[in-house]
Amino acid sequence: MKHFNRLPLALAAVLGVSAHLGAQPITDPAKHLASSLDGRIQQIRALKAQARNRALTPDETASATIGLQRDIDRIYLSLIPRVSLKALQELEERRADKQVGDATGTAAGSTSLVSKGGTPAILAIAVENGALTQDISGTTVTFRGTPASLVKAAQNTGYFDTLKTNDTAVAVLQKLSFAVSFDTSRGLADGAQPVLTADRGQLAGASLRVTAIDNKDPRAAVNDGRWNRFSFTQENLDQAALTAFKALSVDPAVVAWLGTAQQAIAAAPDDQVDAVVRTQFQMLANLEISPAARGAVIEAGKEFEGLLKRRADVLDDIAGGGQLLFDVAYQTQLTGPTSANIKVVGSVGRSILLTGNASATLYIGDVPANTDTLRDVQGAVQLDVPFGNPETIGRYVFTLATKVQHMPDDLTAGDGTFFPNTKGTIWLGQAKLTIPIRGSAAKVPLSVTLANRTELIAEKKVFLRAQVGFSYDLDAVLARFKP
Amino acid sequence: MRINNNNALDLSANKGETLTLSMVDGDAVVTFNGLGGPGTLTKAAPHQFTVPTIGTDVPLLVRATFKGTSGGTASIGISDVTGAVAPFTFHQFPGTATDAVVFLVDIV
Repeated sequence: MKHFNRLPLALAAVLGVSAHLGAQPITDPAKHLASSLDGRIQQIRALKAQARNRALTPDETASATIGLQRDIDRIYLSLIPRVSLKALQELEERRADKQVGDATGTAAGSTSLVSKGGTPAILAIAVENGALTQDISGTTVTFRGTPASLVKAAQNTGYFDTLKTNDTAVAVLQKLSFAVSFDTSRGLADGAQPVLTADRGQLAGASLRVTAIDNKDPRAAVNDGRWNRFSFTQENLDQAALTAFKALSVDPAVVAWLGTAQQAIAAAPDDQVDAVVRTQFQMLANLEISPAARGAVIEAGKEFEGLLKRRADVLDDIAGGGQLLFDVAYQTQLTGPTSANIKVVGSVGRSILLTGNASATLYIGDVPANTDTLRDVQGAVQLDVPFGNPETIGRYVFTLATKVQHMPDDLTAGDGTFFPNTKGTIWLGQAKLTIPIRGSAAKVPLSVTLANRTELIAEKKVFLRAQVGFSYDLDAVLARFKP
Repeated sequence: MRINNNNALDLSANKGETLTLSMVDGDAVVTFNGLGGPGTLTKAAPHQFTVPTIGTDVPLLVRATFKGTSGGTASIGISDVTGAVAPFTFHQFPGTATDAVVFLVDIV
């Protein structure tokens, strides 16, 4: 028998809030340069392909090839050997990772780790294995996304454009997100492997989330003051970059390199653009430039490093902000009545994040006679402790969580089946390790959960269960396919 | 003002001509240097400047620093009094913090 398979939705609400933990600000110029070159390579390749079918706009033409005006940061950073050699090595590793992970060869670019906010901008899939209070384990697949961004994505809008809006109504709509969960073990013959059909028979629940406060979002208006103060610290870098531009634009070696690089890119077939651009930037590390240009490059590089640190400080400050959201979930059970779970989720903390939940579950629909509408009340606390360098081994998160669930009455199934002595209190404790998969947007959570009882078995003994999960942030992939 | 070579970063303008650097859309922190800079550009506060009467070409560096790890944008443009616009949009490459371009105004 399968009963009350609904906890994965509740867990998703807690885990979603802690998603900011993965967003560590970049402080290494080499890492920035690697990502920046990666992005420019894809942009140049895409524009080169488009230019065969139509005339490029002035905006696009500016980005269609390497140029001192378009690539000033990338060029002066590449002229600093300690930065460029490390960046190019990083880029090579990403290419190697891509070949291993992309057996079909259909991906448009490498899948570097990109972390999103509390709610994925477009769509995320979470597949959760295991069970906490269910009587048996199952596999639940959860789709979560924001309606506003999905509509824009469906309109064939590029990923970056999906996040742009001047419309207040759309901005408000982006505070809403939804989730639909399917229990892949439903509707199968005995002994059959779970398979996702995503039909009504597998629907385990759906939820709607409203983000009331998200001060951890760096783009939130509440953080505008911090960014305004930050902008006034940019003068030295901008001045140094401008000085470097002036010096490099008259340096014979740089002028010659630029001519060669542009010719090589123009002559390269689409599938060679990547290698050609990397080779050209590799040459910069050993380019002999004038002492004046060298001095300007070193100064700009130093100021650039300062910008990364100041930006990281601002983001670290913002990370201490609070979050508050409301989640309403509709849950269907195989044997029990359908129910609604109303939840409030709040969180505080900077690098270490404390999240709290309070919720109530109400029976809705065909409630058996003499059954109270209130099914249970729940409270949960979760502590997330991130560790590991995101630029080397990746950002791991260790989580400790506890949850208390009180059921004031014995449970009754929708068909009237009565479960005696099931009222009471359940407590659960969970330890979890979330492991990032290098070079991808995927993460694997491993967890162990202790509980004093399950919902339907009230005997006093401690249950121990292990869960393995898998989550994938499709935003990172979509950003690569449609920049 | 004229766009040269169909490239929004390559401009030419008359001596003494008044041009305006504006932020049209986006959520990045935009700063500029040169041609009346340094300064911070916001949607509410465009930067108006006069093309110098001496020299051959003058650079204007514009930088967008992104607040998140991906998805940041900043659409900017240089316009003249007739309404002609040289637009440029910064799209944040995933995992990057900032990007800069240099508008070069050829004085005619």
